[in-house]
Amino acid sequence: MSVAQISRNEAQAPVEQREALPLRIVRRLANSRELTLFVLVVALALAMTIVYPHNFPTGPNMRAVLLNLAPVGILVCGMMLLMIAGTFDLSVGSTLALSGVWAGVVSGWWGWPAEAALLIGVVVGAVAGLINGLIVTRIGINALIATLGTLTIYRSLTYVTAGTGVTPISDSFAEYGRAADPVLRIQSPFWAMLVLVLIGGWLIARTRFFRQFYFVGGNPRAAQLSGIRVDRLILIGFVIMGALAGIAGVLGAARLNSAVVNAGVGIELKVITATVLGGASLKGGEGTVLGGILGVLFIALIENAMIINAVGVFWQGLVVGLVLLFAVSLDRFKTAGRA
Amino acid sequence: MGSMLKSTLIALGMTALASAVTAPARAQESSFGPADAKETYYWISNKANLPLFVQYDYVGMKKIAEELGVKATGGRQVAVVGGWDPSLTESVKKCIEQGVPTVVDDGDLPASGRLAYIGTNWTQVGVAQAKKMMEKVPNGGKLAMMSIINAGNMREAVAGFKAYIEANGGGKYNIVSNEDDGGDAQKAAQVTAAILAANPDIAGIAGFDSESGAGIVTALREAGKNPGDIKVTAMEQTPDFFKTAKEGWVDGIVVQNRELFIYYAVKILHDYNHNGLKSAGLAAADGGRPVPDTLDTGVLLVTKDNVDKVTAALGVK
Repeated sequence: MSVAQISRNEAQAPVEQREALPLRIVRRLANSRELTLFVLVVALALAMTIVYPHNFPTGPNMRAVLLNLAPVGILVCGMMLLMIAGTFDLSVGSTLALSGVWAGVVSGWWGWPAEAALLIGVVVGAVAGLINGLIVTRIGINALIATLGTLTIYRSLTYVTAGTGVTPISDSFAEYGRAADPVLRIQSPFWAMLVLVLIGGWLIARTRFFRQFYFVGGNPRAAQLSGIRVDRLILIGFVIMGALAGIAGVLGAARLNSAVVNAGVGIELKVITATVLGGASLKGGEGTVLGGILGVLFIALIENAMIINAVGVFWQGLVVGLVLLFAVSLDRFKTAGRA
Repeated sequence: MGSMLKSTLIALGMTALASAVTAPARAQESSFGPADAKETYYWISNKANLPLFVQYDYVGMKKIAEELGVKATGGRQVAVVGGWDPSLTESVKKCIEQGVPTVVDDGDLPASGRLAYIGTNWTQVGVAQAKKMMEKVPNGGKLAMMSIINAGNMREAVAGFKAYIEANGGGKYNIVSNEDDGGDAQKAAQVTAAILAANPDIAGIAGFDSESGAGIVTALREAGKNPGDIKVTAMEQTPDFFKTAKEGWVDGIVVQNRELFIYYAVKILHDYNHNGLKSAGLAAADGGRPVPDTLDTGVLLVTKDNVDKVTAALGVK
């Protein structure tokens, strides 16, 4: 290569590195999943507001969207923590049902106070999470297999506990799922989710203890060598996940005033989809609660928008699947950018 | 050694939890009849624990097992298959090819070669709901439907509803939405809320799976509607759900007489094995049909007019 060629290449380099503005915007968005999702949520909401001004941006519709995303939103907080640590829990739907049914039994059949029923439901969820954590960390069974197993075990225990479920539970218990704030009139499951998201988001982003989950997910061996008690941390993650599934379960049962034994069937895939969409990597070490909740909100808005748009029911799954693939493709774009 | 101890402890812990969990059980038995019965009849369903089935279908299972002195159990030899999933067609075909007398209930699998179908005519379920809907919405308007979209029987109901409305509605009705609730009341509530947003002037919603009705009513309550604002027709769920007809939230609840499903399914299989009747001189083993091809259990519509009788009989407070 001649000197003249070298100097020409050097002169061209900065010009080649300066990307076109649209490309830079896309790359910037791809680098921040939260920002991407925020833009997508705003764009979708704006588009729907313009096209369906009398249907989409109405109080009742927004309240319904926010209320209905609450169970998945609560579960995403725990799933995000686990996925940051490089693991996950497939039994969340069954844990949710088991917790709800137990709360139903305590309040509806035994006549105990609603508060005791709520507490016992959450404790049942936490114990289920503890068992998952012990199987994964102490016996060393892969989380996929372990929680696939407990998924069926907990569902079976739900059937054994209550047969057809508990309906109705009690009016005092139902109040915990139906009470709404006087201003926005959004029911309690949404507010519970919001509180959990804010606390969970702050803990994971700001506290040293929870930031250890990123180290564990990024490189478990290095985390272990640096003194982090990896197994203990993952165990705690599973307990938190179980307790959150318990909260989602009892609030869901309270909302319907009915503990349904087949509640939460298939919800685990919805939760993992939202968590991955929200920035979690299946390899661990990445993701935020904010991203996760924006993922849930984005999917909820898409589902709502599809019905308002009268998208045929057989096409709706295709749209949700394409959204997930879109999220994965953003990851590839980001990786290419780093390379 | 240490890990074995831990494993044992975990297993013990899980057993303790399971025992504790089962303590309050009012769980329904899923196997009936004498333990030493000479014949066992199996009922197979991929949703054997659906509250609706446990609440009603198992009653018939228990009754027929006691009546015939056979064992009837949710669980191969002689089978009754809940046939609302069309993908079961090949499995039933295989049963018949291997000489296992098989009937289907709840949803028909006509291409499977099954001996008989016992259950509701789902087209009539759709028609019953459509008639009630037209009665409650006499001036016409927008209607929506909700079901488990991939279930063959519900597709029949949806088609029956639609066909009846189109043929008899005089063009006054517009079916604006046909949605999937996945057999989950919370999802049904979510879908209903979106239908209400898309169609604020919706006149009626018809639900075709057992969880649709509970979800629709939940969403209507949450949207601040009053009973009767939007007309609702639905399928039976738990006994407590009948209260929604009393309160005016639901205008017609279709009861399938599900107690008859497994009862007659096992009876037909028992007859097939024992009645010795021939058709065209042919015994069952030679291809004769000693049992009926279809047994329609009919439908009963629970409305405000007869709901008191039903709730009283079921002990619903």
